[in-house]
Amino acid sequence: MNRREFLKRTAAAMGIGASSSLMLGALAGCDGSPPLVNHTLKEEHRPLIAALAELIIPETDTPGAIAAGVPDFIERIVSGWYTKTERQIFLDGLVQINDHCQRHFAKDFVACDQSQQAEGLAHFEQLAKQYQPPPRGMFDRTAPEDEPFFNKIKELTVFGYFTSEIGATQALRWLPMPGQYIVDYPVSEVGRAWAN
Amino acid sequence: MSKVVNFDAIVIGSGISGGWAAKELTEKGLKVLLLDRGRNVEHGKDYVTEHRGPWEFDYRNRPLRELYREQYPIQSSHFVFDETTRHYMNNDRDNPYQFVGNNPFHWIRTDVVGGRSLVWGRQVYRFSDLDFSANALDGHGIDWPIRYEDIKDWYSHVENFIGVSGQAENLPQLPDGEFLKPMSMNVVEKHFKTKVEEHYDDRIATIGRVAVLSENHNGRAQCHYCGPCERGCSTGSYFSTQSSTLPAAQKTGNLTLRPQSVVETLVYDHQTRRVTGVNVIDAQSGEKLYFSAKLVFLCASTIATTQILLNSKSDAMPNGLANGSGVLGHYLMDHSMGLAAMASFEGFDDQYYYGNRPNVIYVPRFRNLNGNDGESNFIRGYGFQGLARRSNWRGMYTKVPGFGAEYKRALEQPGPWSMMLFGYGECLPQHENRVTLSKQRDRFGIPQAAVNFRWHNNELKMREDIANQAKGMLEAAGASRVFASTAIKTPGAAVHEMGTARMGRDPKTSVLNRYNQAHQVPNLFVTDGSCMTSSSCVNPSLTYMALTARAVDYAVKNLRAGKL
Repeated sequence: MNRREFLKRTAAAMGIGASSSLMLGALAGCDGSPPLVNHTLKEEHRPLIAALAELIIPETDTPGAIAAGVPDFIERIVSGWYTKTERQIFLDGLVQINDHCQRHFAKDFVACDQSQQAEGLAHFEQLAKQYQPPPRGMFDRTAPEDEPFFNKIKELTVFGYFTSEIGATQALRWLPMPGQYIVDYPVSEVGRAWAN
Repeated sequence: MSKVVNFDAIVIGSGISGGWAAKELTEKGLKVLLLDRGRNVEHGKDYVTEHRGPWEFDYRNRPLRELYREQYPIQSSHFVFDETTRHYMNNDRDNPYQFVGNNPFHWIRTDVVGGRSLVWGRQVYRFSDLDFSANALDGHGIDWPIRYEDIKDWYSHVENFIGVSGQAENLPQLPDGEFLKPMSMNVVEKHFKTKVEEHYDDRIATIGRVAVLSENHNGRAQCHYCGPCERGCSTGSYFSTQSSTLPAAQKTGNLTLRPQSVVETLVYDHQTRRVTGVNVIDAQSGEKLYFSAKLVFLCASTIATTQILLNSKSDAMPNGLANGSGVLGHYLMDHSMGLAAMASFEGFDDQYYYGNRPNVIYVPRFRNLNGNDGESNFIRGYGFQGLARRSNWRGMYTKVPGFGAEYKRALEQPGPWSMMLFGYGECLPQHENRVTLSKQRDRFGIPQAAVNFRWHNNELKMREDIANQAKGMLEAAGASRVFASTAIKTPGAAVHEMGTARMGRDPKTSVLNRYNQAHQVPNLFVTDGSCMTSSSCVNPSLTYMALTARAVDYAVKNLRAGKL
């Protein structure tokens, strides 16, 4: 499913007023994961998240974020895995990026064209450069809680993409049982990074 | 469950040591009861996460932070713990222990049959006489009651069974073993080895010695280089109780395995000066059971073994079973462990590797090999475990700027090469580093173990040299952006906790004799990490295996001669 198609179908669902639990059930059914426990994300957030994810990891010679199920993954993380603080920063960020696009382009993010969207996101990338992370252990497994919105949407998109089945097996090389260990192996033989 | 209550031998704990005790005892014809407090994990069938892709986990194997904080605060501190292994690991909320004062100690452990043999690092090295004579030479701790000559053939015995891949190097301080063919170093590791050996005349870098099969061996298939061994390996390519010792024991027909069996106390008869049996609490039903045996092998792992001995006190032995010396619980050791240095390597960008090698490179101890090196301000020594690899999207995504097609393409490619060197430092035996019983009881009514441990001066001084040497070697190899650190991870993080029931010649200063036999209780043998009199800097599990096989041989001979 491509980006346009996803956005059309989401809007259509909104227009008909499809119940959010049906929507969630459909999304959850895709990869066998349990349905979302709470409905933190509003209907209008979904196309925005999808557009942001696809902007960060677009379709190239390999599938993009939407095709890899990243919007659904982001939703699951924000509503079920994030702390309250993280969720608030994320949700505020969605509002802020729309406000920014309204001020600059008189439109919501999803209605902007590609270059306007890129400009909008780049603005938040710039803002994020001012962030001072707290001191962390070298092997800390998660990003700091108070990371700004840009860092969060980027991390979730990248992580969601490369740990998805499509991302890991098509954008990277997935080899669960190599059979042997070969050194002096040229990158050109693999063509991509190993997924595992 | 079997209704039999009387056995020839009872083995407590089914990990690295207990699995070996069960194998050796059953193969010699004894009827053996093997107890473990954890639930059963069947080889193959129960390796539920073995080949799962990250998309098959609820949150893609991201840490479940609240759950980990509440139920696994200790286990989640260790890199082996994540959603792929959590089902093996101890629930710290349900099964707590104490650490004393401001001295944190991370007791990293499992709660399943097979123990940490399912999730261990598989690095296996022999002790040498440099290690066995260390205490006698510098006066810390007491002399080992054995030397390399006593254990040499037993190392061969266990290596030949388990299969060890390694490279013979003819180093006196790191005796060679019975090796299957060595695994390969990748291009940057080979470069590092060449440059280090050119630059220094006192050290080498070799491929790790690992209990993973590089060739088919004893009916087990060679490694497929999948990567995450700790999830479980259905082809049995690495040594675990499940892949190796348990099937051998079961084949004899002499083994009864009883999981979910918490040992409360050993029962001691002062008239006969023998352990007569074991009091067990069923972990599921809470039922109390008693099993009797002529011979007991206590292999519950260092802290748990000592907890059981301390809790098995009696009028005749008020300080704990077999604790006439008073040293039971004392002289706890763990290797100091930390990332000593890491660096980038440029100029290898067109090179990669195929497969995931379950092994590291190793820089054997080169310090203080003949008395003290002139410039060294610490005694004993350390070794490095290291590896070079190319980073991937996980390491790159915050460093590559921007977003979009070019950004994505950059993350689809392997990142720069880097190398890490982890230093493992020997720990001196200190009386004050100890395990005692807490006043707090666990959910079975058993007093919890309380650990009091801190690093001392020699460990801290050693870290400075560890960092300097690691930095020097990476620089000599032409690395860039070298970062070095003296930081030691929290005690316990190396998961090499040893001591507390040490071997020695004198019953006044040790718990066990030269055959791991309790001085005061001839039918009680202790062969897990608790028996260790000094810690060396090398991984200890191979030594536990060898001591266990040797002790069983001695015990059975004596049992049959009527001496036990």
